[in-house]
Amino acid sequence: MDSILAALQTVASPSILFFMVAGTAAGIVIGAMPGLGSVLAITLALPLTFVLGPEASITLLLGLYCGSVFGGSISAILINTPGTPQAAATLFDGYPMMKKGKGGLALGWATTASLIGGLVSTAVLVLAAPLLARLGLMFGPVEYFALGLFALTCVISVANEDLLRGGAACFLGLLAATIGQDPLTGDIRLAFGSFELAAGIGLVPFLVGLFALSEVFWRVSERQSGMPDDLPKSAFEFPRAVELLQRWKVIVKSSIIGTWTGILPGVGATAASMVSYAEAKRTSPNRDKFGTGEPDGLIASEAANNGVTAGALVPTLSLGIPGDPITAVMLGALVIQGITPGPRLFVDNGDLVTFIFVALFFVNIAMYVLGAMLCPVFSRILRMPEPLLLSGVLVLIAIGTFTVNYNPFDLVVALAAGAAGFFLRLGRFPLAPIVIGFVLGPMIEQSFRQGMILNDGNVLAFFTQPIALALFVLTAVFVALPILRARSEKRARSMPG
Amino acid sequence: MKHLTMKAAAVALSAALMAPAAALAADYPSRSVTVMVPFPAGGSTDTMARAAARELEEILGVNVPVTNVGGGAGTVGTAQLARSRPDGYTIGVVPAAPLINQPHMRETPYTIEDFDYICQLFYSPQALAVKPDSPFKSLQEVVDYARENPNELSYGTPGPGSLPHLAMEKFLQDTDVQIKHVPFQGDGPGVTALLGGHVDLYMAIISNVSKNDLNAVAVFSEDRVDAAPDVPTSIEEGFTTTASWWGGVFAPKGIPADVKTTLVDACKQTSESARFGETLNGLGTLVLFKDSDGVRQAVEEGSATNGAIIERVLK
Amino acid sequence: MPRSISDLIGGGAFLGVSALLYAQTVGTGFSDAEIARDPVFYPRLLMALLTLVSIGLVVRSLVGKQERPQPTPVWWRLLAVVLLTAAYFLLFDVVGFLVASLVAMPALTVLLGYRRPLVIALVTVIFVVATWYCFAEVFVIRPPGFGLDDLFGWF
Repeated sequence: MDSILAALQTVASPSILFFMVAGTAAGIVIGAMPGLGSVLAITLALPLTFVLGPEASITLLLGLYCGSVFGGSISAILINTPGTPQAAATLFDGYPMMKKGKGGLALGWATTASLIGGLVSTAVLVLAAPLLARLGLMFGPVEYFALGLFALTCVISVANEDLLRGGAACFLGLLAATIGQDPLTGDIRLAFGSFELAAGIGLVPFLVGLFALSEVFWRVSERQSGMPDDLPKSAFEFPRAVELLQRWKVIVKSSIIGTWTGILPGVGATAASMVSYAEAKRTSPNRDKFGTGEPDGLIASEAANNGVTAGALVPTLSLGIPGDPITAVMLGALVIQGITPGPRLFVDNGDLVTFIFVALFFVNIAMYVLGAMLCPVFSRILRMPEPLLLSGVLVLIAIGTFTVNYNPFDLVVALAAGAAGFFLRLGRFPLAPIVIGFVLGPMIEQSFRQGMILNDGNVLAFFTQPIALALFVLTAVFVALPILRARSEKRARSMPG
Repeated sequence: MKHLTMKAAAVALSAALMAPAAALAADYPSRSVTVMVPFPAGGSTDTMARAAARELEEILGVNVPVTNVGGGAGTVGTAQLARSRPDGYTIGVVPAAPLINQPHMRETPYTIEDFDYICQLFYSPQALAVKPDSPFKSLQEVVDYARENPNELSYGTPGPGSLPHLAMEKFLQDTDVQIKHVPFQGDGPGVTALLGGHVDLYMAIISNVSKNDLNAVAVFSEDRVDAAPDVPTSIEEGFTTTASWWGGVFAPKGIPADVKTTLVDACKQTSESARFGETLNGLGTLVLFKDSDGVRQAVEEGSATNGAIIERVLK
Repeated sequence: MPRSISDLIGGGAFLGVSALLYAQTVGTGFSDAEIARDPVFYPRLLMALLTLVSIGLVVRSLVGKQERPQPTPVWWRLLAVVLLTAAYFLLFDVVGFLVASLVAMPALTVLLGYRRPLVIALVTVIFVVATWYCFAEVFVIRPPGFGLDDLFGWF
């Protein structure tokens, strides 16, 4: 109890509050700009952490983290380009809502969902971090493979009833992820003799190109503008409490999907938000409205991607193993401060751990408040004439993508992905399965081959491990159910009466 | 009158033209020096580079920003470093692997000849860690068991062609024993797998051991390491293999001689900083300074040794 | 007459992609190893699956349900914007962020149909300079090429 009070006192101090607000606000702004993402935001703060004390550094980093994950949804909703890869799934229902004139409400839903997702995962972190970390350790290569395969089934839900096109998109994404160095042998494959390509296709340029650039191309070549000219001003609009309570199942489930994804190192927030979206679509009573501006879709994506934030801190703090690239940078920052996360952190630095929990709680609140304040500002800015806006977006895309790795080739990737994205949209191929395949592919392939090595090539041995077996069964069920359902629906329709 | 003005102008002009060139060399550094790291932010290399950059800022008196150019297991950033202007304003903090391993594994647009070697800064001995509840208490026990049961045990590493992988393969060759290799994508997933008992052994830098309360049967160095004083060395146990992860400050080939001297000096001072040493120890790494010739020799020797192992193991 | 142009073209394109990628894996001498160590087993598996789906698409385009056509894009505008973006990206590292953006941004604005030169010029300069400053000084990430600190001494 004392440590909670002490932590509260520290949080309330002016310098900590300053960094909380500054960090969160900066995070939101950086996240909202297409091409710039959470890793960039945190990397920028790294030099500062050398001179700030541990509490201030941690607060700053947490603010940047949560803020940027949320910030990505702002541009996703307002201009149909994800500000960060984690916000890709927010496009699907966020932008349609905006087109219907309900942009303010969409922002309200996104902010609220992000808050709840963040709070739920913080609660989980506080209550059960070491235990969950141990649980996560039970996932070895075979289990990761089973999990990846299971997550892949969510493609069925986002294929928009068209399994052939959805499947093609998914395989395309899976293949794109194989380009580069083979993770188990180091051989270069599918690189067409190019050194740059041999390093693989980066997630940020790929996603930015696929969604943001293709959007620019789309708008330029549209016959008539897709945006009605007389849109009401998108002020920020809080969703009604009644609606919030009605949708509690989606909110809770998405937050948990996000949290759990964060706990397992290596899966990532992009996968979390996509899988959460697909799962919500599969089970929501409003599933037919997904893609037209259904709040459930927005909630699913945003609650999940913010749920990853605290979830990723579970292995980071408990085991010293980063849950995602962003917590990896945080880990580095902690090491610089002389703090070594790991099993002994909770014992040796218990007060600091309590502080982290308390700070995380307040950062989420700050994100909500600042989000509500900043959204109208963004809406205002984005109301400028579309041609100017899009060209500004292009410049941001260029510099944001380039500065991720200072690699000119990333721009080439973005361009190619943009062109591909445009034609895929033209052909009515869904883009979501590409992303799902791309982010899940490496995990699926690596863990499969690692499992094969460990089991001496005996695939059947995969089914002897309980967690994996359970996941395989679930996968089979999830694949069979839609087919059975479709068949029974067809039968029902063909019956007279 | 005109004659004098022309002459004065000529003198002034030539002085103005020569001044920058002279200033460049004499006043190095006159603007910020960028440190390039070929790995993403937050990893061990990056943290070390940032700690080094902090020291260099104080020593050189200019801003020293750090840029991360990740990808291709360090080759993309290393290639960029090789291509950078050799004026001393772009240097790299690079671990050895992209230089001595990767060029043997695939086509890289650089070789070890494309760099000017400033110094070695860090060195981290590898240790062989065992999974929790492992029956093995010493390296000899592992070797004996593996000899009786070939290909039954498994060992993990942070990646194919990584320094731990090659070190372990050399060890296995020297002892004529067979253990399955399971590559992971970095220490994060690898150590996780070891903690979960999914692999029997894991070869990596020693900090992974102390941080996670794991047991290591041996550390592959000549002397015991402070971070894990109870772990015997491979030499003590009667084996000859040593292995470490190391790296330093490198620059594109062709930097001016006096710039190089300034940098070597700055590097030496960095290695003597207590603050720097503390940060490295937090990562389980040791400070080790080798000057320009010393590190160049290490690179050449390492490249030759590892090249042979890679030929055997990965081709 | 195909019932669905996108199915036909899409299916055909993916078949082409599979073939192209497969060609990359032939002759590399990789596939003699066991499955776990074989770098091309998994990619080839994916290519096979993609081929199957592509054939399905092509078949469906010929015998499936008739699909309502999408509105066709304005092709010359698409070409223009793609070429513009390509030029911008390719020159980005060569001439530098400032120069490239000061050219590309107005060009795209005009291409999209906006024709008020004074506004364009003003917004472009302010935005590009502000972005440069933000990155170079606040983020300390120097954009490539010629920069404001080369122009003025005071940065």
